[in-house]
This record gives sequence, C-alpha cells and structure tokens, in this order.
Amino acid sequence: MALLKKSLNKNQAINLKIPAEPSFISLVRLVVAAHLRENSVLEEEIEDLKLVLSEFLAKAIEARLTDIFSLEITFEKGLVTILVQDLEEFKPDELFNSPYLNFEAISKLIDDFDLTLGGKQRIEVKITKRFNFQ
Amino acid sequence: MVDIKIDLREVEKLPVIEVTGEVDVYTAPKLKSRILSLIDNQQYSMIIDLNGVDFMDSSGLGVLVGGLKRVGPHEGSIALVLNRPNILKIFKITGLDKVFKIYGSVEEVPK
Repeated sequence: MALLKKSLNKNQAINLKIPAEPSFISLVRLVVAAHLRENSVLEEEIEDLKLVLSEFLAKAIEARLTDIFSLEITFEKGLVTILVQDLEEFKPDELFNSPYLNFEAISKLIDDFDLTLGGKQRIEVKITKRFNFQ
Repeated sequence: MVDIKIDLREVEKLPVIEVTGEVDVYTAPKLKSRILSLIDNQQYSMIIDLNGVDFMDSSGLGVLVGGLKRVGPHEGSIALVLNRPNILKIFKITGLDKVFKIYGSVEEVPK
C-alpha cells in the first residue's frame, strides 16, 4: 500500500512517498493535477507536467533507481518545483537509454530539469515549471 | 489506481478498438494485448479510437508503434481517431503525427 502523506503548509508543499511501481504513477499525476487545478493553472500546462512526471518516473522505475519515490512538490508564486529524492546512484545507461520519451523532449515541456548528486552517492532530480493562470 | 477500459466493436467490418481512461506504463500492456489479439486473428487493419483517453505517455505510443510494425508486413493499417489536444501534443512532440493517419472521428476514416 502507498504511504501517502499529504501536507499543505503555508508554502503549499505536498510530500508523497509511494512505491516505485507502475501502478502508482497515476497517483502522483492525480495529486499534482488536482492541486494545480485548485490553483487555476491552465489545463494545457497541467497536462505538460503530468506527462513529464509520468515519463521521468517510468524511466526511474525501468532503471530501478529506487524502491520508494520520495517526492516533494512545492507551489510558490506560480512556480512548481518537484524534487525526487533518495534515488540510487546515477546509472546513466539505464536512465538515458530507456524506451521512454528522452530528456530533450521532456525538457521542452518544462522550465528546468536538474539532476544533482545528493548525499551518500544518491541523486536528486528537480523539475521546475512556471505556470500561467486562467 | 487508474485503469483503462477497452471495448471492441465493428464498423463496416473494420474492428474499432475504443480506449477510455489513461494509458501509461501500467495500463499500456492491456492495450497491447487487445491489438495483438486482433492481429493473431489475422485482422491486420483496424481503427483505434483514442477520443476517450484522458492521458497518454510514451508507453502508449510504443504500443501503437509496435502494432503498426506488426500490421505493416501484411499490408494492414492502423487508423487513429483522436481530437484531444493534450493527446495530440505527444504525437507532435515525437513526430508520430506524421507516422499515423489521424482522424477526428470514426466516421471520417476511409473504410
């Protein structure tokens, strides 16, 4: 079962912990889209972010980067930042050569896709997108 | 969990696969299975109606491309019915809008 922790604070942050399994990716899309809709973000831009999230999480599952996704999603002044933490050590071959949409295509849909080395040789991925409102 | 609904009907003896819901890495295998079952029954031309699809990622595209590759050698075809902008967008991003014949409705597909 998913360990779902939804906490909205002053900065409108959502923290999710879900199993890194294909059946749970839709849950992430659902939570993020519902919150953006609540904040009157344009539907087209919500769809772009849903696609980016799905593609990246599918890639990470394919590359077996983690058993549990730890996602921190923050909304502030029209900017959404999604931080995927605690991924295993970077495996470029598995991550870049998977059959899903490539990073170049993903990058066209968002403002920034940043992959950095975290502690203990783990990586963090930061997806950033600035939104327009209805 | 999200799921997809896949129905099969016939229009002028052409099979029409109607897909409803979300097509992603979890649900795409169900669509693949339905396409393959038609091909196994030697039905190499089909219509896939995606107008009921709310979301599709590259997993779904992969299934459709795989189907097209399988019917090609048999001079078959896969016509897509699709007019939802968010789904059309991923076809345009990947250039697959030039690979598939895409129609707005089942009625528009040449039989």
